[in-house]
Amino acid sequence: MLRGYAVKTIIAIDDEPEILKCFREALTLRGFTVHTSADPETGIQMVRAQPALDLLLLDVKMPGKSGFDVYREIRAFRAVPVLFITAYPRSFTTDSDEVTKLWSEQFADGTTDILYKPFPLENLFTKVEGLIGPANDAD
Amino acid sequence: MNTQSDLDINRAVRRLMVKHWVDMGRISVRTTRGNISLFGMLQRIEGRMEPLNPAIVDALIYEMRRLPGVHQLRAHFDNWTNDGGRWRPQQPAHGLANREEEGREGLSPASDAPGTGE
Repeated sequence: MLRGYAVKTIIAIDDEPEILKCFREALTLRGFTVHTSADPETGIQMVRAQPALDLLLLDVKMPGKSGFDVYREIRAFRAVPVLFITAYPRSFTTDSDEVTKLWSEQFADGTTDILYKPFPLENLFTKVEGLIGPANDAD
Repeated sequence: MNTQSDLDINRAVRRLMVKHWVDMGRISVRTTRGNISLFGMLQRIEGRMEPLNPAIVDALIYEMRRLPGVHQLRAHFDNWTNDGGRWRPQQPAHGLANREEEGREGLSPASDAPGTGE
């Protein structure tokens, strides 16, 4: 008897097209279905339109709308695990009331993680699979 | 391979790191059949919080070892070393900027006895 399984779906939102290409190629080879958006607003709409979403990869610093804004907006309607990806470790500082509030209120459920650029692909896989497991549960 | 219970453990470990304001971007967590591996730099996010001290690190690792389903915990921190079951900061040879160049390993089983074997 054939065993059914669903491939896990990831949406990546980052204003750098080369980074999005990297995510798409690496994680697709790993077996995930990956959708990408270089625009935060479009990314939010993609999340709304995607019924089966397992993980959101989210850049912190983007023009127009920060990753923290996108995170709050999406978390208001979808409890999806999030992996923040940033080249700026100081994005996460208790000097920022916004970060302190997000950290203590939203991150506390354990479904949010952080990855700093640049990163080896192995670290990306560890973070992604540490949040949602392998691409399909039949692995 | 991550089973659901391993993912639950990962999530609980992240909860503890958030509770202690640990910079998750500098730490990787892998759990396989209840065996946790931690590696990277163990430090708090920048800002107003006091830096981690040995008592807090001991408490953090103790809490991780006590999580349901955890059989063993292996920690390979670049900036902390396990000395006789107690964690202490790895002294930087050339200042804080060079901490990432120094690697140390600590083992901590999922038992009440700290740091006794793998």
